[in-house]
Amino acid sequence: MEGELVAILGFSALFVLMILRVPVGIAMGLVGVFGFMAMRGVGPGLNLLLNSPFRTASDYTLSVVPMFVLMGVFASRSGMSSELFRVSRAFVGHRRGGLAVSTILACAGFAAINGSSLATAATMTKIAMPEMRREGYEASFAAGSIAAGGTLGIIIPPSVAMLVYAILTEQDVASLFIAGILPGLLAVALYSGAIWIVSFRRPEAFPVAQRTDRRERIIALRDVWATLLLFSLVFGSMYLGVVTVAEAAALGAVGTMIIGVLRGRLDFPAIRECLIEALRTTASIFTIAIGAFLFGYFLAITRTTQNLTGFITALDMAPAMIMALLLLGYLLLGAFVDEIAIVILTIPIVYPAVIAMGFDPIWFGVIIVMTVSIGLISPPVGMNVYVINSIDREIGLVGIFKGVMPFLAADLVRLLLLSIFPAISLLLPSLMP
Amino acid sequence: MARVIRWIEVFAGYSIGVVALLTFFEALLRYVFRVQIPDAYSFAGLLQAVAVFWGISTATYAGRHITVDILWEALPKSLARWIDVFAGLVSLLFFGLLSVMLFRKILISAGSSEATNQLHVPLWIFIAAAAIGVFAATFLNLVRIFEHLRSATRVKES
Amino acid sequence: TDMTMSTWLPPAHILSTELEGWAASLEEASDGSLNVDIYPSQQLGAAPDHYDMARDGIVDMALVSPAYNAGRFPIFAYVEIPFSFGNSTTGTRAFHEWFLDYAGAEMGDVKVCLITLHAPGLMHFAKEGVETPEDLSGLRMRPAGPTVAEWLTQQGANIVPSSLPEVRELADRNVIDGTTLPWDMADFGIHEALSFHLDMPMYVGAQVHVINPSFYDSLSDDERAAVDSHCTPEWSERISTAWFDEAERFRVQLSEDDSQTIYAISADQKAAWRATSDPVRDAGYAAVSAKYADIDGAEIGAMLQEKLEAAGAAYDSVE
Ligand code: NA
Ligand code: NA
Repeated sequence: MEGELVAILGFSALFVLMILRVPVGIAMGLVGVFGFMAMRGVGPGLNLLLNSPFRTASDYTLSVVPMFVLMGVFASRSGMSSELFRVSRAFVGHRRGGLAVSTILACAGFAAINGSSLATAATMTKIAMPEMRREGYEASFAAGSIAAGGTLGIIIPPSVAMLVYAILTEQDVASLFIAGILPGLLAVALYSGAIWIVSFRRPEAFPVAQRTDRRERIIALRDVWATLLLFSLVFGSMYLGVVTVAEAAALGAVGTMIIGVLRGRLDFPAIRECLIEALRTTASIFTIAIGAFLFGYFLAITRTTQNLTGFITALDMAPAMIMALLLLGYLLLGAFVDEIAIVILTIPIVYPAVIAMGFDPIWFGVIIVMTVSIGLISPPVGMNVYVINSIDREIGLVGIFKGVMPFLAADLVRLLLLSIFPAISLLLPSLMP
Repeated sequence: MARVIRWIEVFAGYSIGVVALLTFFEALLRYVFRVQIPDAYSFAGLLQAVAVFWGISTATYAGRHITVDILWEALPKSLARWIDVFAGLVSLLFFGLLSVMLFRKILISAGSSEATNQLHVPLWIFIAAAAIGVFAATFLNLVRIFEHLRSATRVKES
Repeated sequence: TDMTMSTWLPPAHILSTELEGWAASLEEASDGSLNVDIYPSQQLGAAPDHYDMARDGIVDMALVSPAYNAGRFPIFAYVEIPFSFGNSTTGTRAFHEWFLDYAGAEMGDVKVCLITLHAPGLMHFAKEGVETPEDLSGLRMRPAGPTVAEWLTQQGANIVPSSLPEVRELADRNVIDGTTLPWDMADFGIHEALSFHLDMPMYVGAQVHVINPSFYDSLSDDERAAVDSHCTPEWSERISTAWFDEAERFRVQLSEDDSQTIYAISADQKAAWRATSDPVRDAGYAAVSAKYADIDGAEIGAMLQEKLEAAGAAYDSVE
């Protein structure tokens, strides 16, 4: 059969299967196998299952994913997220909207030692939500700030989404992570700005909390040494280039565990539960990766990627215009589909065309992760909002989505700034030794 | 059933832990003492495969895979249940085919003298250990379909 | 007839461009009846799976690096025993002719079409000072393949295995102190981190290009004749020669580069290096005898040496 026709049928089948709630990875895998059959015969299609899934599962370069996941789980379990909240509250909590800003800062700190947004949102809901309630914050905005802060989990490195992008496009993980630092700080600034504007216009939403005295500040500050140490260990070694990324990730995971044990916060049963939690995340990511490789062979044999690249580069349209349309597409996709799944599903198709148009691969990696991260808090399917909703049952989905709106606006501003000034992401990697 | 699932998860979780420790100590020994753990990278990758496939089996049973829920959430519960059954059958097809092919892979690898680089440990042992996870996934997938058929309403993931 | 061919190399690699020329010649020989579609860069499968991909019909022809499948092809692995090959040009032809006698035993489920060798490889280091085998002790080395890895281990080196594209990162990050590669390593920028080159070419690495047997059988007589005329030791030599010339170009380039140090060692030191390869040679022979009941590993090893000497490609003939 003609490659183009099979490809169109394949994409349609993939869409139908996914909407009928077949797991994303399995839908991709099956369409890949059966699409390959249509092109090369039943035997060859089936034979894809002989090697590829095991090859993906045993791929050592992918081990960075479970390692960074594990690091985040250990960090959360050993109470590092609540320390971060305590210290940021001690310093800015007493200002107008200060607890919400504290939440954002604590999220950013926690994001620096873990790669997942859901973990960030979940752990901060438990820590920050009760505090903001107690101080009389409007629940929907309080939840909105946690949801938005949670997206920092994949915006600020280490980031599972960036990892997946780097592996798929064979880009240097360290460079991509380093490139994510300034945009992450920009996100923190813009979120704080959004809180400030809201608190300015509606003071009743964010009452002023009590000031913490200096002694308490110092005590709180002393507690964050572990976070600082781990972050500098992982990123310092990566920035200086003395270890591979896999080693830095393992260093982060094992280091977080050791610190947790030494501080008496992790015992053996707790470590076991952490391993299981990391395993669950790992399994769901690898299911998609396995499916994505199978689907990728189908894309290759139908020459879909090449055809698409040829089509896009032949368009009589400015690259900036095409990029704008592309990002709009990602925003729409992100509203419905899981962020990691989007990256795995689309990057192999889109990336060659983007590079052919002359865009920087590291910049594109950062901008894609920024764009899909918006999907985490945008209706109708915003995983961070869902996670908060599953922990705090009193506000309701609509309420949280309402509270998220100012932050969505901040996200769009950030996206615009990053597109206009690529240096925000590319400056730091250009300074790497 | 809960105890079997627990046992699988504990075992696979430990495998992840071993991967982390292997990578960590391999790097540490190499930098500090200039000695190496032979085949550390190979073992780490192979153990990861075992953990991943075993983890996939419990994720399948618990309905913890990443899915697109938009239609499922919008439908009445009675209809959503049939979507679950359909998705379960499709997944069963995938895991069934994968089981057959992995079983073949064990046989082919055992017959080919493939081994790790340095210690020459036969690869088929790891392939078999990982494949058990996929066999389990196939079985647990079947169990889940029956649970969907039995229950009157859609099952929320645990 | 469409012929789907997979490689794991990037399209710009010299072997990829040579294979394109080979494919064009094949198409012409079939009067346009054959049409070769090349899929580079592991698009259709991971590098270590390429043998199986051809066997399983996922593709019709595949570029296989048997070094990725340790232990699986012990006869073919003779090619990697250090200090065996003096060149990679006439050496390719001799090895191809020799291997055809055992292709049925070792790669019976595919048709062996071409065997290509890279230019003789040497050792590259981050620091100066490696002149004798003892100097390797404690160094972290990225090996070419399993046989070289075993040899390095016997010299007391620590092995850091990695794929070719990762070598540069490992070297940049000081994860490795050295590697074994031919001169075209400079194509990957590896020389920037590993700038000390021991001027003693010592081993070769090989690829085998295999065809799915059902695909071969399904061809018309004319098409099959065209394929046969392109699956020859002469074609193997031709492609490997182009690759060798490419490596030479990089050698000249590095020798003119002030940041690079290409250093020679004495004849006595060279003799000491040569003596180190006997254990891996014996182990390689033993592995063949153990796997194939009716083949004597040492005997066919001696036949390969004779063949190489006759072709002027034995290690001694170059010194
Ligand atoms: Na992060
Ligand atoms: Na969304």
